[in-house]
Amino acid sequence: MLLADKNNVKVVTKLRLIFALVVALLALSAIVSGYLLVQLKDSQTNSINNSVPTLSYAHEMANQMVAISDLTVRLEDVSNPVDVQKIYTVLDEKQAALRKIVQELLEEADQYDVDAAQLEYAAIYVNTSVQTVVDAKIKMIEVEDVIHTKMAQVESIRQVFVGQFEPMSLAYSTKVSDSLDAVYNSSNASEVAQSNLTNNFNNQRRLQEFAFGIYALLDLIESAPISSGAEYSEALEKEVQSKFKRSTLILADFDGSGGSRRAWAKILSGLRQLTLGESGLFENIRTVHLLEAQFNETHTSQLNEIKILSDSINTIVETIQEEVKASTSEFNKILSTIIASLIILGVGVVLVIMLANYLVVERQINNRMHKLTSAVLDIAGGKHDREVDVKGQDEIGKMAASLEVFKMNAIELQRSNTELEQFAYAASHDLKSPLRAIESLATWTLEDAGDDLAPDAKSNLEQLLVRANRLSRLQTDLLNYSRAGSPDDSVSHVDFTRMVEDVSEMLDPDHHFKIYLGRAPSGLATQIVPLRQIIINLVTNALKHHDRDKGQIEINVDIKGNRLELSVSDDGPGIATEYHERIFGLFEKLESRDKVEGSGLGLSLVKKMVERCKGSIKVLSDPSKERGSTFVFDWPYTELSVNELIKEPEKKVSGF
Amino acid sequence: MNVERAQPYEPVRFMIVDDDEISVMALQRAMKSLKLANPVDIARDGVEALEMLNQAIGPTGALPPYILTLDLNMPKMGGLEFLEEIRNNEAFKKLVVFVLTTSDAPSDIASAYEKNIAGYVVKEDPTNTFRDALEMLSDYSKLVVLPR
Repeated sequence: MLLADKNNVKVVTKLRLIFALVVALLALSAIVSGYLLVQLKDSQTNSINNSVPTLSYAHEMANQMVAISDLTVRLEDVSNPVDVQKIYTVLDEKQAALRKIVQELLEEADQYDVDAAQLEYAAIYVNTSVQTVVDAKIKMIEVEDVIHTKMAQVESIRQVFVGQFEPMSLAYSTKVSDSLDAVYNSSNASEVAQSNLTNNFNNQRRLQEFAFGIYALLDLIESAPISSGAEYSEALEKEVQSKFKRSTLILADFDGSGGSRRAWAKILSGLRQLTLGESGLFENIRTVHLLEAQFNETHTSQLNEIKILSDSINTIVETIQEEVKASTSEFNKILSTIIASLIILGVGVVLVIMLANYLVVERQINNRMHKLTSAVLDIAGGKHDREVDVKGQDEIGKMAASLEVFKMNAIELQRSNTELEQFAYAASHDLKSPLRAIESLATWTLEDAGDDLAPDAKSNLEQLLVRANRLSRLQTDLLNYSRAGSPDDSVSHVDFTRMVEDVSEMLDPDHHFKIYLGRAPSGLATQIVPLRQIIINLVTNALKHHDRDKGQIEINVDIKGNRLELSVSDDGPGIATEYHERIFGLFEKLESRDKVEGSGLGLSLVKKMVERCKGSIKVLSDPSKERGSTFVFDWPYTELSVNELIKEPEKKVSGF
Repeated sequence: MNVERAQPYEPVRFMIVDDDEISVMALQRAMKSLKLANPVDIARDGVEALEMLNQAIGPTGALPPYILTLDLNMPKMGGLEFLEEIRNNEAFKKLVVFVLTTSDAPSDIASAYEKNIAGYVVKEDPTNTFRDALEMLSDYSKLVVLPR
């Protein structure tokens, strides 16, 4: 298993595996979501495509039905044919629209559990009922007109009667009054006069009776149109009929009127015809009542059918509502599923990442890297006893193994260096004593018995002394060189002018040469002790190798970034280019020891000290072009603040 | 010069503690050329030096005035060890000691001064160093009052 063999699999491979896993999880979640979203879309599409149009039809239908119902109600109160026509136009429009909608709905009727036949019938009925109702209404208006006309005629007949009755009644009253006078004023009222009175009285009475009868009849007739209900009209008609009979009877009894009777009989007959006859008032009234009944009946049926339609709509709407609800809940379900699955996958991904982070990144990589880094830092810092406790065959493991090797090398190197230093020190130090002895004994011998010696012997002894001295100086230089491994590193304020003056005094007290400072910054601090040694060595070299008695040595100091650049230039013979490398080597000399005294260590010491401070030294010289050589090297420095400058005591560093 | 003295003039004894023959020879030559009359004792190491000091204690239990030159690198008992010994010894506690040695190591210098030496001289040039040192010691002994 990969995890068991954990430290043998490459780190990168492990990480790649983790990434692949995460990507796979994300892809999975994307696929699942995609699939669910498609389902979502489908359900929504279904819902929208089916429900919405149907709902709009239903709504439309409801509108039309309400309008039709309203208009029909309004139709009842209309009395103007023009208005009726207007309403009819609109009604027709509406019912046509309704018909059309129903047609559309019929196509889906079975979907919604609605009786298509019933629906269709209802629509058709609405159509025909509208026609019926309107026709009835028109007819009603016509008949009412006729009734009005007839009523007007009745009114004019009344006027005729009134015109006739009044004068006649008056005449009879006079006649009666005269007769009465005739009877009551004469002493012997004749029977004729009495019978006249009786006749006149009877005639008057009969006239009154007739007149009242006629008035009553006319009143009754006039009340007919405004009566309500067919039954009432019927009863009225019967009463009118009986009154006509009565009046006719009264008229028959009436004999005193002469021609009037005939005329009145004619008028009465005419009136009878007008009211009770064919297409008479009462017939028309009956017609109106019939039409009204028809209107109401049709209207009621229409309402019923409308109700049926309305119920169907409700059914449809309810069904659609159910569907939408179902669809919505399905939508919500799918949405929840999506969210849930996304959350689960998200959590899954987070868990995987966390797990991976812990198992691989943390334990296998970070932890070990951390240990490795800390080990590297410790070992680089000089702690050679640090254990490298990282194992494995992967890159980290290999690095750890290499680190172990480096550590061993470093330990070995340090030991070797220490050994070398100790050796150099011991060698140079232990040489001192016998060397001194040789020098002393040779000197003393020369002192004590120098004159007694043969010249050869004396010369030999002198040579001995010279070589001994040389050896002594070499030993001192070697000692210094070995000591240069741990010089005095203390940093303090450097006065370049002073330093150059001191060096000049020390190396050239008689001022054969001009040893001077060119340019130099101030207010700096550095490791003075080794720097001084370097200057001394370079100036010593310049003096030693100069081919003239007089000359000059110029020392310059510049600031280059965070380092100083120092140069020591002389006007001596110069150094050939091919020797520029060699001169810094240990024990290298360009002149024989007899011509120029020197251990050959000076420049190598300078190089060692410069490189110890992470710098470099080079020589600029080309005797084929011109005289002179310049040694250039860089050296660290720090700036001193003004306060520090004031606090630093003036130090005169005296000779070595 | 006429100097008032507390006690009668007794020439100071020099003790040279050094194992190096050449150094001893150089010292002796220097004494000769300076014509110094002081008695000189020579010890090769700290042990010998202690023995000689013990023998020099007089009947009164006091040491005659001594000035010591002490080398540090010696067998058997080195200079610093010797100093440790004498500074713990009632009789020798107040001895005036000049260290005369090849070592210029700051640690040696510091350790020596810890033991209250009168001075530390580094042997540079065999001939001159000893000469100068002895000259200095001679003047020192003539001028300075030594403890008893």
